[in-house]
Amino acid sequence: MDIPNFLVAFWIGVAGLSLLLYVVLDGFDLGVGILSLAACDEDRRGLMMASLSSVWDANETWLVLLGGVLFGAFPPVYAALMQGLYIPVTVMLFALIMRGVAFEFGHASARKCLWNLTFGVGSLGAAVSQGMILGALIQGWPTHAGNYLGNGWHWFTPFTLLTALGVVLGYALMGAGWLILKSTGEMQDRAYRRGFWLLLGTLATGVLVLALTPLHNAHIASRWTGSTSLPYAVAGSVAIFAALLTLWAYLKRHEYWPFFGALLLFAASFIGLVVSLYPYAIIPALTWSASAASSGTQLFMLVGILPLIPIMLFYNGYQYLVFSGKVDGAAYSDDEAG
Amino acid sequence: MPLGYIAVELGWAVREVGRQPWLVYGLLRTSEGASQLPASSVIFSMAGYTLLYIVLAIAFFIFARRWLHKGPDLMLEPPPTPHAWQDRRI
Repeated sequence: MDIPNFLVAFWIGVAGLSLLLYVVLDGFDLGVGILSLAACDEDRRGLMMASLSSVWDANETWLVLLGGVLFGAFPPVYAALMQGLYIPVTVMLFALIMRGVAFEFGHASARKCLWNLTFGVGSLGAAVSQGMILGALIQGWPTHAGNYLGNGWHWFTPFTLLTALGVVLGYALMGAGWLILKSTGEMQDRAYRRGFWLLLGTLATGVLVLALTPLHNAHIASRWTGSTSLPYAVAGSVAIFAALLTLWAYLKRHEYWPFFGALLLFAASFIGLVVSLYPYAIIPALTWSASAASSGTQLFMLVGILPLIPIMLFYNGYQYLVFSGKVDGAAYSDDEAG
Repeated sequence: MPLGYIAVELGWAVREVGRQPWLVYGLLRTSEGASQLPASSVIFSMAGYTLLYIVLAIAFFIFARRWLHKGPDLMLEPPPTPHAWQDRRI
């Protein structure tokens, strides 16, 4: 493999890694936010937010890294995403802003329920937007040199509503897994019960999306029926294994596997999707290789970002270790607001 | 008065406005860098950001004022030994 091709492959890998980490990590904390809408009192909502307070903003750094990588290494892809998905991306950012400040302002406010509601609604809004973005990526949209060609509403179809439902259920499933890890007693018991139904809902929606995908996208249909079926077989088997593992974990009331099983399910689906879309970044006109920045640019970025990635992975992993264990309601009282 | 903040914001505005009509000085004009989105989409985001940040700015000033009036709590005990670190069950 020569250097330009290596650089393109490397940066696709980094973009994919950031997106995958973003989806599973922010996925579970958005999911906790969605579940907080169904929580029965403010104390429990506060405890749910407390379980995230050390990790939620670090989880969102992967979205920032993804944006930076696409902006630098694949500028036409970045331009096409921002233009073609302008409204869902903007709504997602509004939602992420609101749920972010809800953590900080909730401490200071006397009316906690208002900020807790903002947190829940923001989480749900971000998940719905991301689900519609996923649906739009599966459908594809016409582009010309990164510019969007269309009426601006291609991301709003029955299919993208279905993918949005799938993402909301899937995020809530990961959120339930996280709450099982972090809570005890009645709260954990509720998370088990909700998570079980969310798993069934996620699987049903996922199968429906999978069945409808070839009808919406001829490229994906031809990839699936083409000669290289190995990646799909692997991703599909891992997804089925993860689904069964998670189901088993809920039935046995295991403590770790509801969360890690759901993460594995997301990872397998994600890899299946990326491989299905390849060589396109955005179907039907924008390929990764054609939209790559010059090798000089990509090499320059490599020198800057390559040392950063292990550091980011390390400190992100380390914070989970430091804040491991069950969440303690008393330790997160209002004192830390000062 | 937070004059330092105002100076920083105005300095930024001077730089952005002063560079016009260039986006990247001498290389890319603003008109060449603008997206081809319909104006209605851009008005939506512009109005949304304006509204959102006005609400957040008001909330910030209310809370910041409240904290400054309250002052630091000098009687606060140091935090107890963190239990989470010892509990290695994830």
